[in-house]
Amino acid sequence: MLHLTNFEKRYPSGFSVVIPELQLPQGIHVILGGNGSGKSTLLKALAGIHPANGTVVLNGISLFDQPLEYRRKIGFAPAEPTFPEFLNLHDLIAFVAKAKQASIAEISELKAVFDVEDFLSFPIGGYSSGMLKKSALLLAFLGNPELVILDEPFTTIDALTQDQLVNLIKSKTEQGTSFLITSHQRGPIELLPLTSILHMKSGKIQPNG
Amino acid sequence: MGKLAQLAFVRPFFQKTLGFWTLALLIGGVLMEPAQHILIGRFLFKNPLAFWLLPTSIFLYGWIHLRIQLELVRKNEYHVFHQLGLFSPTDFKRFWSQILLLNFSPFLGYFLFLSYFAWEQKAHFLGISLWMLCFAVIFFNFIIIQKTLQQPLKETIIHRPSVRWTFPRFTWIILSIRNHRPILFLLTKAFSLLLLNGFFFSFQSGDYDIRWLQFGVLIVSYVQLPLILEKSDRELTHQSWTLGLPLTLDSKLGYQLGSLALLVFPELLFLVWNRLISSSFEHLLLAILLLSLSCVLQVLVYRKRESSSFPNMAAAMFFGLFLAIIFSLPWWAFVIGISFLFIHQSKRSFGF
Repeated sequence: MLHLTNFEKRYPSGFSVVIPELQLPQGIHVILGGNGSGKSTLLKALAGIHPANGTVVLNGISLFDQPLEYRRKIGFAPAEPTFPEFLNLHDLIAFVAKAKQASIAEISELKAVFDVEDFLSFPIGGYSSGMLKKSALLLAFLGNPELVILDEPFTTIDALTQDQLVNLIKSKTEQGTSFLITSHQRGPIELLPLTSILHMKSGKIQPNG
Repeated sequence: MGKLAQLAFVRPFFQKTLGFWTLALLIGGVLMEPAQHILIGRFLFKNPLAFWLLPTSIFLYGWIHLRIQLELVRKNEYHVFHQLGLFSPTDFKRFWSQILLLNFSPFLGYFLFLSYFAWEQKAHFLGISLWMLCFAVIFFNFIIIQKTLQQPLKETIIHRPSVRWTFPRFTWIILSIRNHRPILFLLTKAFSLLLLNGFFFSFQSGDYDIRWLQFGVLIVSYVQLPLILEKSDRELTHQSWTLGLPLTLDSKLGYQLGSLALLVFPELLFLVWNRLISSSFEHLLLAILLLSLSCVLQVLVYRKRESSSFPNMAAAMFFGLFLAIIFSLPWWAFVIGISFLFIHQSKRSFGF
C-alpha cells in the first residue's frame, strides 16, 4: 500500500526525520512515540502538505512525481486543526467536497457520525477544540480516500465521538481503506484491529518497531 | 464559492495593503485635483521615461500580490485551501479569476482611465502594450499560484536572530509595525518627508514666516495618524497584557514618549538636521512641536477611537491648531496642556 524509500525531511534547526525503507501493507498502522519524536512531521509530509526528499509511493502513485493524483487518494486530519475564523463548517465541507468530489450521501453519513449538525453554520472562530477536531476528522474522510492519515485523532473529542470514530475506522478498513494513526491514548487504539505498531524516536523508526 | 474566495483571498489582501491604499487615496484623492490627474495622464504618454513608471508599478504590484497570496496559503489555518490544487481546471480558473480581477481592480480601473489619454495622444501602441503587460502579470500570478497549490507547500520557518538582544519595551511597537505593516510605515515616512521637504523648500523663498513651517509640522503629524492607530491597535490587542502590569507613571510615560519618538524618528531627524543647517533655534522647537502633536493624537486615538465622533474630533482639533498657528498663539502653552492630558491618560488604569 505505502512504500517509503530514502525518506528524509530536514529542518535548519538540525532536526530531521530519516526513514531509509518502510513498507506498509493495507490495514491500520499506528505510530507511537514521545513528544517531538517527528510523528507529526512525518504525517504532514506523507499527506503531501509539506515537501520532503526520497520516494513515497501509495498504491503505485508517487507523491513527488504525481502529487495531485497522490493527494486525491489521501485524507488528513492534523493534531491541532486550525481553519480561517471567518468560515463555517458548512463552507468547509462544500469546499473540500468539491475538491475531493465527495457525494451528498457520503457528506450526510459523515455529518451524522461526527454529530456536527448543531454547529455547521457557526463561524469557526467560536469553535471549541473538540468541534475543530470533529470538523478536521470529517473533512479527512471526505472523498473516500485510500489512505487516511490521522494525527492524534482521539484527543479533545468526547467519549461518544471516540466510539463513533473507532467504528468508522473499522468499517472503512473492511471497505479497503488504510489508516496511519498517531496516538498517545491507548484506550481507543486497543479497540482497533491493528496491522502494525511503529515506534518513532528522534526522527527515526526504531528497529524493533 | 464566490463568497469563500472573497473572504479568503480578497479581503486579507486589501487588509494587508490597507495602509498603501489609504495613502494612495490621500495623495490621489485629497491632495490632488482632477486637473492634475489629467495632466499626469497626458504626461505619461508624452514622456517615454515617465511611461516606464507604469510597467514598473504593475510589476511591483504583481510581485507584492503574489507574495501576499503565497504567504496566505502557507499559513497553518489556510492549509485547507491547499486542496484548491485538486479542483478541476475549470473550477480553479473560475475561483482564482474573480480573486485576481478584484485584487487588481484598482490598477485595472486606473489603466482604463489612462487608456483615454493613450487614445487622445494617439499612443495606441503604448496603450495596448500596457494592457497586455497588465494581463501578463495577472496570468503570471495565476500560474505561480496554481503551481504552488499543486505541490507540497514550503513551510514557514521562523529564523531566530543569532544575536539575541533584549529590546526595551518602547521598541516593541516599532518592531511589530516593521514586521506586520512595513509598507504602511515606509509610505507614511516617504510621504511625510516629501511634505516636510516641500514646506522647507518653499520657506527658503523668504515669502513665509515660521508659521508656515509650524503648519507643515501640523500636517505631517496628521499624516502619522494611520501609524498611531496601528500602534494603539497593537497595544490593545497583541500587547494588551502589558496594560495590566503594575508599572509606575514614569515607566508608562517613558514608554509612550519613547515609542512615539521612534515612530516619528525620521521626521524628528529631518527637523534637527535642518536646525543644524540653518542654525535657527525655532527649527529645533519644531521637533518638540511634532512630538507633542503626536502625543495629543495618541491621547485622542485612545479616548475616542471607538466613538463615531472620532473623525469630527480629529478634524476639529486640526482646525483649532491651524487657527492657533495662524494667530501666533503661544504653542508652548499648548504643549503644557498636552502634557497634563498625557499624564492624566497614563494615570488611568489600562489608560496606556
